[in-house]
Amino acid sequence: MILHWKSNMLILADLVLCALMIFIMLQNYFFMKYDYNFYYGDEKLADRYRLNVVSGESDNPFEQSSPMYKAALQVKQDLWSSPLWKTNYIVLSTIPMEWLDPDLPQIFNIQNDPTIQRAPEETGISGYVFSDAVIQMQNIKLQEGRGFVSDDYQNTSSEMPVIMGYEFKQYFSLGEIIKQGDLSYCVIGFFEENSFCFPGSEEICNLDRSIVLPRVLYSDQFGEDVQLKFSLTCDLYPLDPQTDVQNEINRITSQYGFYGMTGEPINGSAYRNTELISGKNIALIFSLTVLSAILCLVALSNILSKRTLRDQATHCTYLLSGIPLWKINFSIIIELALWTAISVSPPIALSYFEYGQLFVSPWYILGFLSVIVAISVIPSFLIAGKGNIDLFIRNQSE
Amino acid sequence: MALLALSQITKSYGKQDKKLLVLDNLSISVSEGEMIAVMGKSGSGKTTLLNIIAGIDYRDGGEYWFDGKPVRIKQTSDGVRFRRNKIGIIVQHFALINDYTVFENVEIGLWETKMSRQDRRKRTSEVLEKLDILRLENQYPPELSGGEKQRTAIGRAIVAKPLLILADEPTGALDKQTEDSIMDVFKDLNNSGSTMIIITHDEDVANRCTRIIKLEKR
Repeated sequence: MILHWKSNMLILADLVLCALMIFIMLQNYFFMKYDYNFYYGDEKLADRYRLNVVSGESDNPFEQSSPMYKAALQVKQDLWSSPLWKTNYIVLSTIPMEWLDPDLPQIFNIQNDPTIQRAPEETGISGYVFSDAVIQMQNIKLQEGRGFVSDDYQNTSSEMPVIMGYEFKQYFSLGEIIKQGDLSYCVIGFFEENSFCFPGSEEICNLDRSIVLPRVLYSDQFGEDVQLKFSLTCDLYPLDPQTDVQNEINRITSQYGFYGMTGEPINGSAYRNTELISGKNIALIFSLTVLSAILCLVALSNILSKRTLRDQATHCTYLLSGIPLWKINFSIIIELALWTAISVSPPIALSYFEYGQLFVSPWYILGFLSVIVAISVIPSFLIAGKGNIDLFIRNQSE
Repeated sequence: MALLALSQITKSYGKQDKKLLVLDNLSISVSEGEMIAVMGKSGSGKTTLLNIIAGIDYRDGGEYWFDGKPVRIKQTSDGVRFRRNKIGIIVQHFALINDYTVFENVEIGLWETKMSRQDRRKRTSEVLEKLDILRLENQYPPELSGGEKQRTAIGRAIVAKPLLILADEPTGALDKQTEDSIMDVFKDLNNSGSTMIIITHDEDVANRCTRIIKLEKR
């Protein structure tokens, strides 16, 4: 193998290129197949779904005056009590300036930062309202204290419990009561440093400078309507990945004659980020793959044939020494098998780097490459088989 | 006891109307321990004879026994099987693999034996020692003199202790002094019991053999 390092490098380069082409084709094909299923088929798998209510513009079903309000409450009740999934929501909430203690450093005050557009009453502190399952479902770790419990959501008379981000830890302590006019808050926990939450479909939010509440501040200003809206535009986490979420949502909404609701897959699927891939694109990629496979086959066959021709004297020496032809051919196969196996690794690495997972089985790529290698090695076998010891001895003697 | 016997061997090349008869009813017998020189002009069939004895080429007619058994070669693989561990071949231009060291070139002769790797290495070292080229074991053929290359080729031919050693013009590419030293090696091998057939043009080489067979060009 060391004897042919130049040809081996060429063989490897050929195979890697071909493997990448096959990988791109198969990957796109699978994406297309998935997208097809996603839009037209039965497969609707995701880890998390974001609910949207498709209501008419003239009616807001979350207002008590709406004729759909009661139906909305019933739909909410069924959605939140369904055994098929867990529900939760994260709502961004404004944290007013009064929260700023005069002793807090300026980093919490972004009013002087021209790059951030915020209303005058806003601070550099992010506020979120978490429903009860968020911390568990999004696996957010607390460094100290506890998460929210059901009492925190129901009891509106006492101090509002808050969980603070890591950077507040040096200014507040666990159990500390913060009084702000009529409202008072109790610090019940601190998140670990660099904790994150996923409030929407795209963004990821660092919680280090955040304060998390179990319900909105000033509930008298927002009322039950807003709470209902949060509850019906929440996230669903199916307990069984095979659950047909959309079908179940349709069943619940139709039961009460409510507006249509869509369950949009949010994560757990990198497919979602790909646009619908057209059949024409696949056909083009397929043609390019076939072309590159043919080119690879020709190049490989050429390299191997030339190499085998050069090696004929060596093969004759082997044959003279009683080493059978099949072993010589087998050594070629072993060597090619090694390069073929190695050439599958760049697509695997690429897939992991890009998507963190494999969409295309390496066996498919290996299968394609094996066919190419098997065909391209035939001329080499024929050449090796024509090694003529008689001629070898006579030519050497001349 | 005859190690090999050829009876009425015929061999010709070419197609029917342009057939060239090279060997015509050739019969020879070689006993164990003999050192035979085969001489003849170019085209007299010396190499053809060697090829038939080694199972490299097919005979058109006649009978061939080796070590008491009839030899029937119908395809290349039969020849490879027949040669394996029975016949060692030495050619004029050594047929060494330039990318292998002297040690590895000699060890090739043991690849098809059932010896362990350790035994193979031991045996190879013994042969290199015997041929006085152990000091060259890590060198590559292009770094060797003609005599050293031929000693390496001899090493590969004898390392598996074959019943017969065939040499085709083994001294043809060597100077007189080196030729003598190589013939000394052959003589030593013969004295230690090896049966040898040497194809040569050289009278001096032939005269050091126990018997000379002369082939006439037809």
